Amino acid sequence: MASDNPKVPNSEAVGSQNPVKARRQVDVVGFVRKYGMVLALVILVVLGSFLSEAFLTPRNLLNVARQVSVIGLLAAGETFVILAGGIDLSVGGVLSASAIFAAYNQNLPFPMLVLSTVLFGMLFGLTTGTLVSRAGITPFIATLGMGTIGEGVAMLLSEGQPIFIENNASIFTTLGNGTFAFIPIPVIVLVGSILIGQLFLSGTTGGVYLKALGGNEEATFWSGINTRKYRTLSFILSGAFVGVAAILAVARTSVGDPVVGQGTTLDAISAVVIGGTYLGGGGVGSVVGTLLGAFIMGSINNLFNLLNVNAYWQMVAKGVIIISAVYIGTRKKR
Amino acid sequence: MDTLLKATGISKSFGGIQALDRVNFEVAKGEVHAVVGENGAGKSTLMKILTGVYQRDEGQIWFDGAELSAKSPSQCRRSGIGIVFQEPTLIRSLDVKTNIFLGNYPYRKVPGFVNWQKLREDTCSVLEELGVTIDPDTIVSDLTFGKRQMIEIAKVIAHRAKLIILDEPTSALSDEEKDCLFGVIARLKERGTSIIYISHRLPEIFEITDRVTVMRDGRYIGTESTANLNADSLIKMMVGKALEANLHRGSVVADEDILKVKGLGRGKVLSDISFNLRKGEILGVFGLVGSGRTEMARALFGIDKIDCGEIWLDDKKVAIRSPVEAVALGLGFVPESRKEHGIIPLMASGMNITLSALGKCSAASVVNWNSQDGIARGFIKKMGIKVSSPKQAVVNLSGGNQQKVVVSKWLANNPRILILDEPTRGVDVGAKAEIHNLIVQLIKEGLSVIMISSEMEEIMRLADRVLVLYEGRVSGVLDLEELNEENLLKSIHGHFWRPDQNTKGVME
Repeated sequence: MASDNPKVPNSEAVGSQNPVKARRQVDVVGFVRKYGMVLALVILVVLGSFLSEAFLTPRNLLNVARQVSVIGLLAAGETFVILAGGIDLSVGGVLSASAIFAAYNQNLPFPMLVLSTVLFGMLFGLTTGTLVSRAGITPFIATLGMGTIGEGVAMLLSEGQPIFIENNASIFTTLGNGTFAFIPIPVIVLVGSILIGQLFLSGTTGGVYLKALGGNEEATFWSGINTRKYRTLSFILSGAFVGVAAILAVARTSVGDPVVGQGTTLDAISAVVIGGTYLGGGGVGSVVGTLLGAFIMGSINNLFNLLNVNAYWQMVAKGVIIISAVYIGTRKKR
Repeated sequence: MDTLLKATGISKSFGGIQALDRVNFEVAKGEVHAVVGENGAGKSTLMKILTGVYQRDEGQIWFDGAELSAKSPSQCRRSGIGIVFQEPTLIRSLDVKTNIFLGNYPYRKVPGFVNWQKLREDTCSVLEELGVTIDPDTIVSDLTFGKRQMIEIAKVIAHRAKLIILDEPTSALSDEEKDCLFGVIARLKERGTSIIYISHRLPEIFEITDRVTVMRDGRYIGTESTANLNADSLIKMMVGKALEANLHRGSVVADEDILKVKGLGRGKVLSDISFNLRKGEILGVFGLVGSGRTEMARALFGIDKIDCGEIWLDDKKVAIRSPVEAVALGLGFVPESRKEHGIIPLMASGMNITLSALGKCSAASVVNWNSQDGIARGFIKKMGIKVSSPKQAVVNLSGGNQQKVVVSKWLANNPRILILDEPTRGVDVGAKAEIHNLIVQLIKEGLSVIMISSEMEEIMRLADRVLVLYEGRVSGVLDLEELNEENLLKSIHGHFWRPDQNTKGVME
């Protein structure tokens, strides 16, 4: 109201000062956001090499990479959901269900098996997405429910017993434990999937719309973008990555374990958050960041193991790290 | 007549902008005193100073025989000035008695333990004073809006207020509820409580107030006894400003409709809205808060579902059920609330600009970043948006620049019809002039514009015709020749202006 008064001097100058001030701010924030994680990983590796001789060896590092492959894939899928302003608490339950699904259908030709497992995961995502975008159930509740359903489905199909791989065994073993040019195949699958995810995110309209959805759902809707469709898509993508993770999880142990997903959801979310994606909206983040987040968490675990730190202390430390990452994230937002 | 409140020479400025300029104001004991004026006249700033929300720069206030020294809302409330805001302040999940005495409960002998029996009795006596019958144990969310308003007033009375400010108290009330409120006001007056009544609705002012104070552009215009005024003379006091030149006047509007709306209706919010938009025209939409301005635009853009009515685009009937469909048909909508509906705050400015048109610079969903960047840079240059780079997050821009980003977002889509809802709200004077010039420029390039504004000045400067809404209906369509402040004010207060097609007089 009062700002309409035409007699006011200096209003032009006031308006033009803001961007200058903002520019300096953005550069600092942008730098921390861009390189903070890489910095953290570098510090961790340097620290690790001093603390333990066994840490900075190719063999150990590849081992770390192999260990984070399943969580890394879950986290990559989770990134899409969190980036779009949601949360997916179902990845662990769906991982169990998908792993059992894969082991249950081990007689299928291998490409068919992979495809159907990925579709199985996507079906969970589609259901969740529909519940969220059509029925208006909050992602927290919808995915909590779908995750529990996933756990139940895993138990029903397996009758509570692990399903061992007998058919296709050699392919599974190669996939889970083989190497290609000294690099473990699970790591190749992880990095390849991450790259595909990142290409989608930074190269397509869908990627931009997911970020927009997380940044401001209302404004995205008002911009003439089908928000329901992209909200659903975020969950479908998450489901697809869970499907790939399930194949890896089965391949690494040659067994379909109905409780393989237990405890993995929070690890996946932690990797996403440590990887710099804003939890609870903002629309800022990347899949590559999540990969770094997963590696940071994996390295810390590995270092603790090498140093013989009590497993319970490891849990405490992990909690502290997650809270710190979120705290730094919210500080950046302001 | 005893004076309860006397304010002299009150001035207040915000960052060099004079919101109040040596305003005088006086309220007598036991009177109902109306304060009227256009948006931006300074009514709410004055009330915020009286209730301690803002501190005055200059001037003196005497209240109840002493100088008012209160410096905060709670101190003012304790001195006896209470306000009932337009927005409800009740906690809906709690019951009536808990709300009325919130923060002021009677305790048992042990502090912290509420004496519920006494609380109930106190509540009953307050409600009795108001002459309303409401069970003190009712949960607020079970009450109608009218009853909730009574509770708000009771809350103020419970604090022993001698002066009660009612800010647009009837905007959400039905006719019976309004009568009930007026009954309460009459009772309060009888027991010597003074009331400041702020309203845009002239009939109400004539019905219940004793005196009227008119404000305009942050200045005090005058105080008159209501009995000596009629609608015309009051509106003349509110206007009184020389006409600004219409920027757009003289430009050519085609004699061809691009959009026709027939009998649009939605619940109780909109009924029987009909109008046409001609090619290359700026159709102003004017009306009070709650008149259905924004609601009409939302319905047109597919954000809210319509119950009935037809939309014709280029003589073809169309269905717009979502913004997706609206955009596909060539509509754009610059919303009133930039933060809520306009920008993606942490996203890059350039990306915000191309958000809606991203599909057009991509093939099979794969974005061509060169063409995206080209479009973004093009608009940053054309609109004079001040950014360090297209990558700068839009939240770090000034209000005016953010608004330009939102406007660019729609222009990038090459719309045929652009709806602007309060296009210059919250932007500084310089940016405002730029946006006005831009709108005129766009019209010359063949765009048709529907511009909603609550600023009469803006409507008068830009519009070719004005559609005036009152309580969800069309109360007038003003042509350029008929466009003056007096006619606009008459129409927004429901005075029947011109017997146009499908429009009916709303007031006697």
